[in-house]
Amino acid sequence: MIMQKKEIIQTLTLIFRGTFGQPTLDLRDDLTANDVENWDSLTHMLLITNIENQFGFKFKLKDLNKMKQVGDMITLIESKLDIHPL
Amino acid sequence: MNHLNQLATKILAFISLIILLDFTAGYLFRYLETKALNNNPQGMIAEFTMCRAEGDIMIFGASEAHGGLIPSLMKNKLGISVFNCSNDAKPFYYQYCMINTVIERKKPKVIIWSIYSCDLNTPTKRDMNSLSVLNPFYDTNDYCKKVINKKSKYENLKMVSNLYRYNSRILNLISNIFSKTETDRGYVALSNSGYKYPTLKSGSEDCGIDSEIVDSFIEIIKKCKATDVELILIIIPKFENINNSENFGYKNLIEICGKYDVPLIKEFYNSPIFLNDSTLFRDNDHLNDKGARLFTALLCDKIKQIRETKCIH
Amino acid sequence: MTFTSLNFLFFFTIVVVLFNLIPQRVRVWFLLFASYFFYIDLMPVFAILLALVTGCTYLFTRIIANSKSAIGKHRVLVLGIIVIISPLIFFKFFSFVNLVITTLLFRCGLHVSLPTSSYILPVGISFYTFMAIGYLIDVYNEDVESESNIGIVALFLAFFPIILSGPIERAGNLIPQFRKLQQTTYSDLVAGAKMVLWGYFLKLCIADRLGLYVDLIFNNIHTYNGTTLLFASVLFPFQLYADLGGYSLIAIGVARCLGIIVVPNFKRPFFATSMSEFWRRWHMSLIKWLTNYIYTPLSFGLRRWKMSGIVTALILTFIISGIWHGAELTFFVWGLLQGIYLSIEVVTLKKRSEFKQKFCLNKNPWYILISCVWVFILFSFSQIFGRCGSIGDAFYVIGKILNVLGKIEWLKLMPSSLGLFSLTLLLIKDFLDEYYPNRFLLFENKNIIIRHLSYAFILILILTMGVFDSGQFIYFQF
Repeated sequence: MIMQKKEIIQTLTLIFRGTFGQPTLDLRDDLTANDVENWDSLTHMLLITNIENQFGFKFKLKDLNKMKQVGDMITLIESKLDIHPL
Repeated sequence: MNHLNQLATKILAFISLIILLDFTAGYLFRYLETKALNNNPQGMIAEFTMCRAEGDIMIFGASEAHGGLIPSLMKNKLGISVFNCSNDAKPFYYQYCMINTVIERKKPKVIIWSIYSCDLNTPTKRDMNSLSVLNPFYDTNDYCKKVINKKSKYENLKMVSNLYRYNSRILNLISNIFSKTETDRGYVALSNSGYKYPTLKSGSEDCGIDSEIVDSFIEIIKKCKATDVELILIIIPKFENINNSENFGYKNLIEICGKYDVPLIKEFYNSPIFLNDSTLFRDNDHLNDKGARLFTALLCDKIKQIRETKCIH
Repeated sequence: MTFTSLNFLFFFTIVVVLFNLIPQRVRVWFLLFASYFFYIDLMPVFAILLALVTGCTYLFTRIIANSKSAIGKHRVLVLGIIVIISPLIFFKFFSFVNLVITTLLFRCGLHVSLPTSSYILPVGISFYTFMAIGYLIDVYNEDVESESNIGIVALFLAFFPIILSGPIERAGNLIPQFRKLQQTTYSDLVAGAKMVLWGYFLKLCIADRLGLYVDLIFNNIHTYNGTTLLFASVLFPFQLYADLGGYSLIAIGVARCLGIIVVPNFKRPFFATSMSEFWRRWHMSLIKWLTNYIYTPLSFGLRRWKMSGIVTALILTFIISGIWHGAELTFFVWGLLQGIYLSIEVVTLKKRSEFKQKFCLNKNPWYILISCVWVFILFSFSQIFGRCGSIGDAFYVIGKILNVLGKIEWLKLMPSSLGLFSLTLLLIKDFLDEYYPNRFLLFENKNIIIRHLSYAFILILILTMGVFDSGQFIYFQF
């Protein structure tokens, strides 16, 4: 099954809302931890675990530093799922 | 270049502002100081000793003397006026300034100086910091200038600022304008309220000596001789059984007193009269009121004895 | 020379002036020289250690950067970390380990006296070691490029404003700035000078003043009643904030006067509404370091345990931080407490969030106030362990606070009461910055007269109320 970027964002939005307890949160590419309540280094790891479980792949420690914004995160997930943006 | 000019002007303006404010602050502080001294001389011991204190006998020392020698009792026993100029936690150099200044201002007949063997040791940083009460006298009193300059090589630079001279003093000045300390000509009774009677400590002490301090010490002794002021050194009892047999500072103190023929009353220190009775003390280092009464009485007898012997010879 | 000595002011002025006069290509070397001069003035012998750590850091980062194989890189990284951290561990734990061994042998009936170390902790060793390790890991993770100019690496580790007490900087921020050292601009100079002035105010008028009282009470815990101890325990976090915060601000300001921007270390910590927010505002550079290099790898490794993995990583991280503060049980408990506080918060995060949303508490001033006070209470409680000499003392103090009431020793507070006045000023300023930013400006006011008068006012306060010629900076010993 190949996931579209749209689908990734949809799934990711649900994960974000669930992890941070923010039922109305919407994702943007330039969203960072500063903009989201409850998103800090403690909950970040929960987010990572939830993403891993949902999408079924593993991050590397090095990957963590590359995800400063939601946009980076989406790009990384895309590359992990091995699809290339059109 | 325009930028640089602007910067220079701003800096210059700021510096002038600071100088102006500092100058004004100096006036204000001196005004407060006079007012505090008028209202509560006993809260301004250093200034009072420097400028006003009078007595045929004048007592110098730190807290042990402040709460250990009772002027009214001494006057009854000796028949001459006494003032206790002691100031808490003040080191050798403070006493050095006070004694020199008092001799020059209003020569007393007798000076009683409470001293311990460790007073001749090199002053600690804390000792030197406690000299800051002398800062206001930096320009007017050569002794104060001399000891303040020992603090560091930058003191004359720091003293340019009036604000620095009165650093940390503001509350002290204000509180002395509005409150009054009652004392018996400088004596403050120490009570045991809130304190238990101490338990006897014992041990041995060994203090070094500092050559500059010894020189200053001898300078005072010579000055007293030259101006015909009778100098009596005393060691006030502590509630400690101290072995001084290896104490270099103690030996030196005795040696200097012997050499210059200065009476050193040390028999009440380490004496069973005091060591056997903890109710005479507030804590290990200080006599309480009861202890002060006993000690003052004993001291007066001793002083009489010394003065009579001197008379005969 | 420390920041609060007159010598430092002379040194600093000369460095800033010369820095701007000399040609750009020698500026790195000039700052390096100035930094070593500064360090040697404090700790002559240990400058060699600093130079050695610098040499190792340079060597290992170069090898990692030029190595082709992933396993090779990893091995060099591990080796590098061990080499760089060993002096810190040696100096920090020597007497502790010594004590443990002697006690163990004693228990076995052997009376052995081991050679004792009379070394004091080399000043700043924690800070440059942390920075060196951070740099090494960043190079390994390819977050920064390894620097080929050893002068720049040496300056990064020895940079005199931050070597004594941080902020703990990252190579990614400082090294690029060192590569192109420009003449200081007017705005940098002014901004730096303002920070330095405010930093001195915090350090001299608040920290050292309050310290007089706090030290007196905590050094004589058996003499004073519970109420007085409670009062001192409340003052201590403020003292610590003004002490480390003031010192950091002087450091940041001094660097700014050279045109270098250093990360902030404190952000109005006492207005945090939760412990996790507090730790994002208190000693930020250290927390950032711990997060990046200890917490993240730990929690990443333990992420399969989900919440319990995070809690374990969190508690371990803070225990390590506690032990870094001092190899004693008190600091262990201090770290453990922080770990527990944060764990409880992260576990209850969603519940609290729902609760807040349900009652619209996010902007409610009373809720904010109560949260701030609560956070303060939690933190001051943990700091009793940070302040007391032994775990027994800490429990004694807590017991006394709970049981032995009485009058506060106001008389002894007299020398510190000027500190309370200055503290009030600081809290008002923090309050305005927090809730009404850009509304009431003094240092940044558009009107030049107000601006200059406020500088003068602070300068006058420093001169009248500062504690001069006095004690050491609390964080030097770490």
